[in-house]
Amino acid sequence: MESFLKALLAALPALLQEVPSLIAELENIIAGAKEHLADKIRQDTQALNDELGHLTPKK
Amino acid sequence: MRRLLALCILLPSLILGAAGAFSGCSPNTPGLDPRALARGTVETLETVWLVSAKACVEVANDQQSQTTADDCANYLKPARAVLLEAADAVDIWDDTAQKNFPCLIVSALSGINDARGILAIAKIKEPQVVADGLALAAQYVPTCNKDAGK
Repeated sequence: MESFLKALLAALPALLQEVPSLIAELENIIAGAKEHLADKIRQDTQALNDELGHLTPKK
Repeated sequence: MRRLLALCILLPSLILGAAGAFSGCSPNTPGLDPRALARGTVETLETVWLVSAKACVEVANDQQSQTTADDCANYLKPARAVLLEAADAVDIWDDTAQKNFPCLIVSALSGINDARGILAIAKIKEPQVVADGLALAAQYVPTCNKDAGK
C-alpha cells in the first residue's frame, strides 16, 4: 500500500502536466461535435442542391 | 416472538423499498430528450428533402419543363437553408436555439410540402420515410404557432 502511494505521488506531477493538453483535446472534440449535424447535412445535400440550382431539363 | 414478527415485516419492507429505489433510477416511463428528438427530426427531414429533391429533378426532366425545375428549386433550396439553420440550432441548443427550432422545422416543412405538391401531380409514390419525417416534424407545428402568437 505504501509503495503504491509512493508510486502514485511520483507519477502525479507528470499526470498534472498532461491535464492542459487533455482539456484542449476535449475542447476540440466538443467543438467538432457541435459542428457535426449541420456539416453533415450540408455535405449530404450539396450536390443535389447544386443540381436544383442549375437544372435544365434534358430534351 | 414479537421481535421475530417485527423482523418478518421489516425485512421484506426494506428489500422492497430498496428495489423500488433502484427501479426509480431506470427510465420505466421514458421521457424523450428534447435535443435527441430535435436531432432525429432534422436527420429524418434531411432524408425527406433528399428524396423530394431527387424526385422533383426527375419529374422536371421527364416533363422537360423548365417551369417545374424552377419551382423545384424555388421550394427546395430555401427549405435546405432552413434545415441547415435547424441543424445549427441542434448543434448549439442554447435557449435561443431551442426557442427558434420549432418554427425552423415548420418553415422547412412548408417548402418540402410545396415540392411534394409537384410530386403528387406527377403521381410519384413516396417512400415511408417521407410520411415518418413529416409526422415527426408536425409535432413542432403547435409549438411554433403558440410562440408566434406571443
